Amino acid sequence: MADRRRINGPTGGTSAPVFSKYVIKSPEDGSDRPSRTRPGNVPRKMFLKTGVTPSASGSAYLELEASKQSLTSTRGLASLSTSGLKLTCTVHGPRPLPKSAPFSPHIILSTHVKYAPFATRKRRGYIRDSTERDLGVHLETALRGVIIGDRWPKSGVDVIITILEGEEDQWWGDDRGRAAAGAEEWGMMSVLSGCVTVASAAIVDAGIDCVDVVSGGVAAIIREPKGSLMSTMLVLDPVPSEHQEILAACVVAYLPGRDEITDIWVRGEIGPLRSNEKSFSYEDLANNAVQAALGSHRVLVGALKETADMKMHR
Amino acid sequence: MDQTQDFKSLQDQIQAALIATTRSAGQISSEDLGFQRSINAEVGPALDEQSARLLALSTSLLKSAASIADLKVPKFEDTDDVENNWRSIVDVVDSLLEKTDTCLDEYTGVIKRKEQPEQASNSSDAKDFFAKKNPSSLGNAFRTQNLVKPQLAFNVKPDNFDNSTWKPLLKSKPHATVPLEESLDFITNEFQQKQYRHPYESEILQLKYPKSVYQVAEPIPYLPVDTTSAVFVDTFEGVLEMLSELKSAKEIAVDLEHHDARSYVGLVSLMQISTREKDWIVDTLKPWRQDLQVLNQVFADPEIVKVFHGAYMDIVWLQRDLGLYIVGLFDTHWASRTLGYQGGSLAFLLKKFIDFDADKKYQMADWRIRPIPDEMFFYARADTHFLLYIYDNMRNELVSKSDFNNPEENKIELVLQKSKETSLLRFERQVYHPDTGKGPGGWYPLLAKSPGLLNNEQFAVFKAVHQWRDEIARKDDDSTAFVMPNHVIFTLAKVMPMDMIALLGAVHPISHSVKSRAGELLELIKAAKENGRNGPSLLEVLQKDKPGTVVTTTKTASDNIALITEVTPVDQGQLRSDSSSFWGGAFGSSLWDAPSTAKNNDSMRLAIPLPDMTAGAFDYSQELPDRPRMAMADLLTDSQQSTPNQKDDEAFIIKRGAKRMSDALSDEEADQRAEEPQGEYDIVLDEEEAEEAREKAARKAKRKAEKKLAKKPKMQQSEDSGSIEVADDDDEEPFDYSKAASVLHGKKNTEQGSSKQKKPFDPYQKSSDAPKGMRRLQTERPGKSFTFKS
Repeated sequence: MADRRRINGPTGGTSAPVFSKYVIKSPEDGSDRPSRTRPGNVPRKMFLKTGVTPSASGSAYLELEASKQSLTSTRGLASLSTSGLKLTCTVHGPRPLPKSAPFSPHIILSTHVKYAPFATRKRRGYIRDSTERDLGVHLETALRGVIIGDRWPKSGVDVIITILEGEEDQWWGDDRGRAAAGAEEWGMMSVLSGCVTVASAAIVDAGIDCVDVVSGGVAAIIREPKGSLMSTMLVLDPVPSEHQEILAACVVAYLPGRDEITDIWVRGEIGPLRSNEKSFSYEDLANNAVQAALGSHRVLVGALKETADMKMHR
Repeated sequence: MDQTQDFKSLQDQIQAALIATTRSAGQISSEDLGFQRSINAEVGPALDEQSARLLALSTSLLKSAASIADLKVPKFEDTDDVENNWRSIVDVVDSLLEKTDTCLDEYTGVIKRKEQPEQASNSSDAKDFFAKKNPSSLGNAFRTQNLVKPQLAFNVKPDNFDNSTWKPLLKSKPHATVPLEESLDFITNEFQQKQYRHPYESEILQLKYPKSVYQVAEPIPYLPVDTTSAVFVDTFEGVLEMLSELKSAKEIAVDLEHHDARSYVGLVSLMQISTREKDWIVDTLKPWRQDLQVLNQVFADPEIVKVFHGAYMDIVWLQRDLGLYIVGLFDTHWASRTLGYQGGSLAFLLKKFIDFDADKKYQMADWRIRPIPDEMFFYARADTHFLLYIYDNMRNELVSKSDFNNPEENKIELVLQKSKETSLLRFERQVYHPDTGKGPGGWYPLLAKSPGLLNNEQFAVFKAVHQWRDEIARKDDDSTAFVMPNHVIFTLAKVMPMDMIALLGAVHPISHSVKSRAGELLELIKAAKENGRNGPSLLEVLQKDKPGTVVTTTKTASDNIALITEVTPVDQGQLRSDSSSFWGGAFGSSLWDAPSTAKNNDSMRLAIPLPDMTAGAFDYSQELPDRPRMAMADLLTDSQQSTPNQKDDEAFIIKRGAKRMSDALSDEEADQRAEEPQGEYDIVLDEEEAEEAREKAARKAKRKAEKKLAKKPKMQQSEDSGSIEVADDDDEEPFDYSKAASVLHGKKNTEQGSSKQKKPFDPYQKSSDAPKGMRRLQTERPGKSFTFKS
């Protein structure tokens, strides 16, 4: 569909050129890949604050810290460096439905997730594509049960998330061909978990009644070289560019107060494993994702306490 | 053809005659005949004579024409008759034309009818038609044929019921470092079964490939395919001749064609061997096939390199059927993997090095057909004819890309290592395990991969049918897939037919082995269904082997628990970061800046000096007599003094003790206030009022309890009380989180209790019983409307 409202760049997407002297694919420079320094059960540090957009009913901003990179050959080459995930969410509502809408006894939740065009290494378009719609549907599933909808008949609430910087699906130096190993979108998993957390913070900031505070968490099973062998590990809050191979990942949206999951999304396959590798089940994966969600819940609650204090004193 | 020729000439003659006649008739009639008659006395009688003749001719012509159509033709005597009876002439001509039409239709119909049976029987047409549709599909002539089974003629017939350890067929061991008897001892495999060792195991492990494999050399081009031909070897003398020629070669390329439909274990049907100069195609379906072992003199010779492509099945087949072993294998598939080519198949290599498009459809053909059709012969030959040239090129590339000092970069050595591993593969007999279903031919892998779950009876039927199928396949020496494909077993297990008609309907396609034993099968299904009710369930069997099951959960559970509990102690300081790399110091909303400005009240300097904010300014005592002193001044000084010491953001509520104008409201407010939790800094200005308020609260609580019971009727009464009571309801019941509906299972509850659920709010319910207005007289219809003024 031709987008005639703007002067668009080339349709295939552009990326800044990387000069070959920075991309030396020899075994000594394998250390360029950012590596995971935190232990497997510790999620990344999160910065979460509400009230970033004062004109909206509620808003929140979430940022995850960047992964540490060895500053050898990519020094000064901004196009190859990455920082963490950055999301901003605005909530508008509850506001009355348009006259044309049929009567609804409960609130109508609509979610929109959009990558900013500069959010990923390959430039995105201005119009929502299928991955963004997917994320929107997952987010809606996650939030739908949490909002007490019956208190707001004939009303609607809009949750709009803009991804300012997205997670990479793989390290740029890995350069897997399109056909090889599939273009797996592992970055989307972390993005979804961040979306759930930030949307929940914004909804509370907007003062919409909720049953509990929902938070998102993500866990993954990775295959990494341990010494000379490859072994599988279960890690929380994976960063796809830090790992050579991700076998499976799981995102959950979790309500700690009621011990319920509102949304779960698993991607990838665990088996077949080699003989020396630990075997995990999908239940393990989901349980650990719930643990990750608990971690982000603590951050969320801390941020919301600050918000509540600030609002009370106005 | 002659007829048409005649017709043409006839037609020309008639046409010529007609033209001449018409011309002359036209010429005569254009003259003034009456004048001519009167002038010349002879003209009259001559004309009359001619016209009488013409009339007679036309009468006889019409008569003959009319005889076909059975019409009556009047006699013409003079010209007037012609005009008077014109109608009947026209009838005759019409009937003639009709007859012609019918004849023509019949004739063309005959042509069509004659052509149809010709087309059907003309197979080349059908083939062309299909070739247009699907050029790559195998013709019926090449698919699995119902031939006499070649294995019935073998000297050593296959015995499918022999479950003992398979012994290698080797009778003598050329190029041996370990003698034959010593190399045929037992080893235990991973299933704790005793198996015969690979006879050439030590030779392969110690093998040093000839130097030529490690050197770059100019690739020797292959001989052109069109001018040379392959030798078809089907006698033992031919084999010996071939052997003598092979012994002088340095590299040979080998490939096999295998048939697996009409044999339980499978049959090696053809062996293709090529050297630099010559190609041979050996018929391995001869009765004396095991004597081909003599080729071990070349195949087991470490000085001759044997080039295969994708040898992992070929090695096993060679051992099993012909007793041949390969020492010195080079597998081009491993070479292409190591070199990182995009494709690993022979077709890819052929395309890359020779630009030859191999027609892979013959892989599925029946290779037992003798004599071998030309296309299949050519395809078989092409498999090995080019392989040595490909080997040359790949070897050169491997050697040039290898670093001999670095074991990981020694690509050629890697390929040779992998090839050695491949050549060490052994054949093991496929044993059927009915209870566990494991093993290559068992039911377990089928069920583990199928998506739907079977109940106990279905599971028992599945196992029984699967076992029965294996038995009859062994008996009839056909493959299990030919006897009964897997999907049929699934159908039978799901449907569980109880009578013959249902059974025959379920088994699609049905093979002769099954058809002849249909009664047996039916009994089997019935018996299995009976016993299956009490048997093991599929779920248990499948879960027994999943990772993290009963046996191993204790280990993994504890691992996971360890993992889980370690997360929680991480404190918030470690989880939360205080600054954003995106915003830096300036976060979006100024709301966050407010506390900092509020803190410096004292240091704020305003442009306009504030009025005197002394206590006197707040002295209301004179102006408002009905309000008692609020003592706000005291209050303020207190607070101003206290604030520098205490925190600024401590909330305090000023509660008024006096009653306001409207009593009703004040009642509520007092009650509300009394209910609010009293904070540290809360100021109650009127102690008496507070006490009263508390008593009121107690009374109110009692009243509320009564009200709750009588809630419903009261709601529908007066509106005044109604609004207050609604406000009350909001007050008394803050949202009870513990009692809220479960989010995870929310939908189920509503579905079950939908009948009990309150109807959702219907805004139009009140107006449904109102009298309906009159129907509009003038309803608007689509289309243009006009207003008529007159």
